[in-house]
Amino acid sequence: MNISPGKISRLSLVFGVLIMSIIMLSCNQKQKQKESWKKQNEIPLKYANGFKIIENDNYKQIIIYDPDNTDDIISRLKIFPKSYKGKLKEREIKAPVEKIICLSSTQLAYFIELNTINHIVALNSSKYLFNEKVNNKIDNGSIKRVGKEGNFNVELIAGIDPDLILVSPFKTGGYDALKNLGIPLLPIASYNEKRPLGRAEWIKLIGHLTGKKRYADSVFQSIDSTYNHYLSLVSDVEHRPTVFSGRFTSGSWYVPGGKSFIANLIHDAGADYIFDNNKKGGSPLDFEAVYSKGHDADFWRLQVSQPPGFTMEKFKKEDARYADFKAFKDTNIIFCNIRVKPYYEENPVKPHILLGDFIHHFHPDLLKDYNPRYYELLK
Amino acid sequence: MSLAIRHNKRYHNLTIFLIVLFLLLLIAANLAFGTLTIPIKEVIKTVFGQEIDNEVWKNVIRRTRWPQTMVALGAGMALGISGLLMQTLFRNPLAGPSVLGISSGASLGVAFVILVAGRLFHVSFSYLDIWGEIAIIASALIGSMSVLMLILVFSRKVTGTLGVLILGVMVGYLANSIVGIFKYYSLEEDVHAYVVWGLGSFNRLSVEKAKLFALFTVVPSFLSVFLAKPLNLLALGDSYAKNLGLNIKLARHLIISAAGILTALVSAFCGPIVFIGLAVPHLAKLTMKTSNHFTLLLCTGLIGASTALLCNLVARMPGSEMSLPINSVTAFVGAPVVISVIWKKRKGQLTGG
Repeated sequence: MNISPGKISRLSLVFGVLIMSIIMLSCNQKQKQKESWKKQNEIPLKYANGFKIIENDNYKQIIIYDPDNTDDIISRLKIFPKSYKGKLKEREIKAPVEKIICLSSTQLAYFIELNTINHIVALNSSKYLFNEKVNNKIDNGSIKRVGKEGNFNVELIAGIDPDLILVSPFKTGGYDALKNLGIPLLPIASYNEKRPLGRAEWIKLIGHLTGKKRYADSVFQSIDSTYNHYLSLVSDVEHRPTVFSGRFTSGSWYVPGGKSFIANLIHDAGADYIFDNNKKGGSPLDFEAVYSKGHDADFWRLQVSQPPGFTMEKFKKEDARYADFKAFKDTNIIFCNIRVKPYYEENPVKPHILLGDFIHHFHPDLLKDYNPRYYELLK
Repeated sequence: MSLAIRHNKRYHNLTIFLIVLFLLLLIAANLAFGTLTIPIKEVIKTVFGQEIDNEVWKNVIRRTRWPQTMVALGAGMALGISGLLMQTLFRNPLAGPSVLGISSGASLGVAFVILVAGRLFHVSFSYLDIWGEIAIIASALIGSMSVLMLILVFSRKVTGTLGVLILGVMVGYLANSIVGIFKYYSLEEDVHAYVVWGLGSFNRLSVEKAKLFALFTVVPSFLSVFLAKPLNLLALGDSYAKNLGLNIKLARHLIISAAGILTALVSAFCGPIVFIGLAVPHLAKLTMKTSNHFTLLLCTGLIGASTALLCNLVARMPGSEMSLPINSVTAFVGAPVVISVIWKKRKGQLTGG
């Protein structure tokens, strides 16, 4: 068979039109979907991209998205009131949910803040937990430890028979076994919200689950207003110090992207993050790359896991080259020691305090009497 | 006949000269190219101890590129020679430093420190501080040395080399399965720290440690030429070697110890570096076309150092801010060599060195 160039171009034209029309059709459908949601009562959110709550007459629909790509629906869940008499189908629950399992300490933050830890019946096995109430409940057995990502004790979970399991959506492994139990899983994608207030706004979702909707709204509002108050303090600072983050471990320097959570926070605190790219995630760079860009930066932000009493001297022993950085010479290293500070179980709902900590260090004359909670100056 | 030998000798001398030249070139390239573009003139000035105005350039060359170059050089040399010793001892072209389970022993030691000790003693090594680093190096040395001891004891009891080889492989499997159990029950951040260690790296060491490392790898590597004679005899076969008056047990002990110590050192300081030890001896055999181990040991050392430096340069990806883990690059160089060996074997040209 002979295929002439003319035939090919005609064929490709037909294909092109076909593909175009498919794309347009699917776009249209998405548009329609979005419009139909608007007709229902969608709860307005200010910052979060990763979830939506739509109120209908007799139930609420929760939709979880990938915060980086809001066309991508990760999960749905219908919440019925306790008075609902019908039989629950798959992905349907009644709220307030009484028995919840949290498989990440980040999720725990919302419950602690809402004072609803009595809804939690089990947690993953994370290392450091500071909250006294949670620790007491673990000690007396009313909160169980069910293993870690990819290695859950499925029989233990089945025995607890929870109403809902909160999981983190960006990790694989172990969930299929949980799905088989017939217990609804709800991915909490808050960790992927790159705006600090977006991460905090997920408290509203937990409020809906635990029957503390109004309280969650008011908590968020006060976080929001404090954050914005701090933001206004630095809105017209003359000098924006430069900041970089991280350290050299096992041959590479993991550098957060220019649009990451930490970069946004640094920017909001009236400082400039030196890796000003469009990346949300981090990337491993070599020492030279970080040193050449960061050698004259004003501040160095660190997160460490060390016994109490971490000092400049100990830090320098890790790598003598650290002393070549200006931030080191000026003793302008701010660090959060996750073994001393309850960073993981609090940071999702404390963006205002993180911001306050940063401003306190970056602009010492703006928040003078402020006592930083997470970030200290390394001495 | 004598003409042919002389001709051969000249060929060998010329080749060794070229390899040394290539090695020096690679050392220079490792100092000159990286993420930062530094003018060659300034690089030369810095290397020869002159002061230059740009503090950043000076620090990068002296405190980042220089130790990396020393470590790559020492590690490549040690791994290549260790690989050659194993291949000749076991008369197996696919043997390498890892075949005796020594690097698995190192991995097991490190896995114990990172994954288990942390939970037992409530210390986290996930973020390596100075003690963590020392603990890791020490545990890798202890792990690999105990495997080495085990194998030496075993090799005294059994007569054949095949038994020793199988024992080494089995110890490797055993170590890996224990590591697997550790990993399964460990916290995610610890597992991550272990995985990162396992990727291998030439740039973990400070200048002072790099100097020590280079000393402890380069000197024993050169000393290994004293093993050339027993190796030459062993290559003829155990009974032949015995008839020619070789103390086989002693020779075997010396060879295994030398290879084991070299591998243990590299695994402890750089992590398990794969493929260089397997591939480089073949490169040496292909270029030198000889079975005299004096020449082979020398060349394997030099080519090993060159290969490691080349891999290091590629992994650094000059001009870009990113870098690759060294093990993915060494495999990239090593795998084609191994494939070509198998290909040649198919044609029946490989006589087994």
